[in-house]
Amino acid sequence: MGPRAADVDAPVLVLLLGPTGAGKSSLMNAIAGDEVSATGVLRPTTHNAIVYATEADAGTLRGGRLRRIAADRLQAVVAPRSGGVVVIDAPDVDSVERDNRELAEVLLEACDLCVFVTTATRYADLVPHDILRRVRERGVPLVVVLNRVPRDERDRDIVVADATRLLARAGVGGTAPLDLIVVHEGEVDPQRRSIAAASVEPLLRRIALLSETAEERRRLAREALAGAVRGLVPLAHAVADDLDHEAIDAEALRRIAVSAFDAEASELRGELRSGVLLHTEVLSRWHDYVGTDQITRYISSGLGKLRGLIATAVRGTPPAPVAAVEAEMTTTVEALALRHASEAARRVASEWSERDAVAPLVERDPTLWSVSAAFAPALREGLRRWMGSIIDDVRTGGGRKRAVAQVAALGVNVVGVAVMLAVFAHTAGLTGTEFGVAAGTAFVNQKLLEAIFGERAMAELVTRARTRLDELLSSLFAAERARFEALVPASTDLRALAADLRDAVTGLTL
Amino acid sequence: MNIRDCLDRLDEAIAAGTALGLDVGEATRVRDTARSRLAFPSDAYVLALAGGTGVGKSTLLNALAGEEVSASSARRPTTADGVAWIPAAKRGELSEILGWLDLRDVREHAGGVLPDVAIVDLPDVDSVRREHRERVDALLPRVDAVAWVVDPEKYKDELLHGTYLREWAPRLRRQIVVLNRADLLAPADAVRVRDDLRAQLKRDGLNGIPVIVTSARAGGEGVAQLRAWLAANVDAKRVVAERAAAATREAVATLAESVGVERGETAPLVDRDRRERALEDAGHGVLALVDMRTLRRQAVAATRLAARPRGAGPFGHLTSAIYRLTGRARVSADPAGHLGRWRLRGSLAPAVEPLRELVASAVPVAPPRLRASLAALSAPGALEGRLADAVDRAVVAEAEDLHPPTSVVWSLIGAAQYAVTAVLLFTALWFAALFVVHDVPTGAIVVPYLGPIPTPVVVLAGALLAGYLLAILLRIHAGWLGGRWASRIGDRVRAAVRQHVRDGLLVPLESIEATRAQLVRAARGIAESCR
Repeated sequence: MGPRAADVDAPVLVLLLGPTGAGKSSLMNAIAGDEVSATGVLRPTTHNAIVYATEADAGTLRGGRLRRIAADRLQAVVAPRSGGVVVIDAPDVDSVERDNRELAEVLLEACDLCVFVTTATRYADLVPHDILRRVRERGVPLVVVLNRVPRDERDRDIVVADATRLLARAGVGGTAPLDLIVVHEGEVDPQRRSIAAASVEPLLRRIALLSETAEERRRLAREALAGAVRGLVPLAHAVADDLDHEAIDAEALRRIAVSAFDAEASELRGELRSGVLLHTEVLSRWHDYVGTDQITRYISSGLGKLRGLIATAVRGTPPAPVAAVEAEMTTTVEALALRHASEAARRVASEWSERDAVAPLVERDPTLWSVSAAFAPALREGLRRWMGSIIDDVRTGGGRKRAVAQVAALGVNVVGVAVMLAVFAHTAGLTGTEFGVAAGTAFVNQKLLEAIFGERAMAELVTRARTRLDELLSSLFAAERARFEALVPASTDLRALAADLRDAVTGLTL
Repeated sequence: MNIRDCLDRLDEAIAAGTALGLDVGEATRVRDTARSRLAFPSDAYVLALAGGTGVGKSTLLNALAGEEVSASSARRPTTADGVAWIPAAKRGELSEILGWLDLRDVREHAGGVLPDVAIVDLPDVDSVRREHRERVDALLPRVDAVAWVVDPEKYKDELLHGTYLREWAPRLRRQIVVLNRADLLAPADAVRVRDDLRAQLKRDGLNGIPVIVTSARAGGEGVAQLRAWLAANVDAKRVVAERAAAATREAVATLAESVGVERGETAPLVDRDRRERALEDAGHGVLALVDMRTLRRQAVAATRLAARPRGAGPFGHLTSAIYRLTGRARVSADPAGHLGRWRLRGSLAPAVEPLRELVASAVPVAPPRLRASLAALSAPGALEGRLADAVDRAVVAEAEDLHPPTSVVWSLIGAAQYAVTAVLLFTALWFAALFVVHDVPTGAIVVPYLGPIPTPVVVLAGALLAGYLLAILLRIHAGWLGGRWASRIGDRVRAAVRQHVRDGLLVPLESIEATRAQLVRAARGIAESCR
């Protein structure tokens, strides 16, 4: 519409539109007064649009309204007459060739006058009716040519009355009387392979008039433009409504993703805090280590401390199962995080698969059913860095001078592991004999940390470590969720677009 | 061809499809329609004339009949409900079918020309009126044969080819395409149009559907040919059965295709090696949780505890009673209890992870329709519950039958301990006697000396040493036996865990594979019994 509005004096564009085999090409030949478009018995006859125009007009159109159409789909036939009117014979709207229909629809958007050609057997077909509805929405002036009407008078009356009724029901013509030209069966000009000129005389006259007077052209162009603008307002509102609905749908889809990932993330956090996460086999090794005299001397006082000092002097400090505990923590956290992220993805994919709007997207990317391939490496790297950050915290002694020396004596890694363990194994809420090992290990571990850092600094250290772990997992889960969210448009964008559209057509009249 | 077998295969395919969570609605409809149709006693088949508006279906029917049967008029669309044209002699036996087809407008003819076929003039397939198209869609699955009627204007309409021919032709057996209204064309053009139509049918993937050219309105050229086709090879029962077979074949093929059956084969969802590895890893994970190290310690302690009453002499009873009463035995010498409480020793997640990964890896390669049910297998609750069950079965069976070993050696050591105790007792009496009779005036008691040391002292020291050594010996022997026993338990638990993990864990995955295989078998069976 833009180019048309910019230049009301550009040549008017008459489009011949209709179902396959209705006789569009024959009509074209009648208009040209010569055989310019191939008529034939094979369907569809016209594969490309035939553009009947003077060279200058054809050039103007190609640079303007028709520039969106691939050049090879437009077949130019040079009109000898004076310019001003361009007639385009569109390819069939209902043939098996899909691009034909698409091309016809693009041409429909560009034309100033639409001549819809149908036949006595075709007028009740479904597909052309859908196209006619588009013509009405587009608000373009319309002439209907009803071809091959039986000569028998009674039959003819029945057909014409019935066709008029059906066309009117499709909304064609609106309040204005239907511009209907009836062509009888056999009214053909075999020489030019065209409909007999006399039968479509009103149309030919109209085209001739357009060609001769610029004022008439301008009037038609304005009428087409006005129709387009009139059609635009409800169309814009309809599109805006669609956008709003789409925004609601997009929000619903996002909510599914958000709630699934949130639920799984909080379940994961709960499991990580349950206190009975790590294998007691590994915990008991840590317990054994912390329980040796050499270590308990940090915790105990008096005789125990003395015994520890002597033991250390005699036997040295035993090696701590640092690697085993670290590996156990990494494997367990990894397994749990993978499980929950994967389950969240599965839940979202499963629910989305039930929704027509996104089911094809899920089908196209089956990796959405599970956690992404990047998750596990990112998690491993994140855990490595998390452990590193705890070691750094411990090295500075949690801000306590006295602690620095003790940490150094025990080994930074050992104390670091003790802090990490305190994140997962703790005594809160543990009861019953079977939690003995976990609770016992947590207890001595906590005692050790308390002895080194003091109660407050220890709590801070552990809390900080836990927060960092939560942050790490949250960001990884968010990245997983983003895979789904990338598939639906942002609802705020859609709403803004809808609002813009409504604003743009407010008060738009010609 | 055996249509019963064929429908049985369809039943199998539907059962398999239902088990896999596929949409079996269409297949079920096909089966029910086929069963209903086959149940009607008749030796006439039903042929439908299907086509767009104005192609001349009614005119064609009138031309076939040689009289006005169906109202043909210039007004479009004409036939609204469907008109049946049947031989009068078959009225009785056809009445049930006509009722089933919901055809009320029934015209009869003498039956001279076409005695074995009921012809139904369908409403237009491309009508603007929805109820017409719905009527066509309702009738097409139930008719036995179709004549697709086209004309020179409409023979290439996308609606006819896309919505009807490509959809329905594979589900039909007896069908023909009639290019009607050929009188609109010059004879040479009619041939060209027919060839173009054939080429389009070929592009639709529909080879072998005959095409004939008629002009029903002008003189009825080609109508005789159509009449001949209608009357040729008419064994109504076979036509009906073949139609049911074609629909069945197509329904099963659609189901099989949706689970990824290609040319009668399915690729396994999970690679065999990968699956073995995952099971092995899961087994390792579980054994880490069962804690074999502690199991061994407990088994040894339990054996020693069992050895004590028999091999530790009179004091052994006392110490083992104390051991039991204080509850220490329950904590550290109870391998059965240790096994039974395996679930409380940490998270199962690391053990489940390889299995989750295995199932998740199968999802992308699975056909889209199977993905949801396949992915559901990897839900943590499902997998973990299954794994826990498997391990429970393995461990509980093992724990029930856990009796510490015993040995006659212990009794021998025990007897020796008793002897040592007796010697100790004797020595004690000896010392007591020496103490008591020390100042008796009957004369001095001579205390025998062994070298420089008095004999009672030597005997006392010897008995204590012997007792200690015997206790050590018992400990070593029981420890050794316990160790062997622990190894046996360990091996058995390991084997049982592996076995149960293997047997129980991937059952749903296997059942999906098996159900797919069932569908493949049904599809192959169809290929044989529905030809």
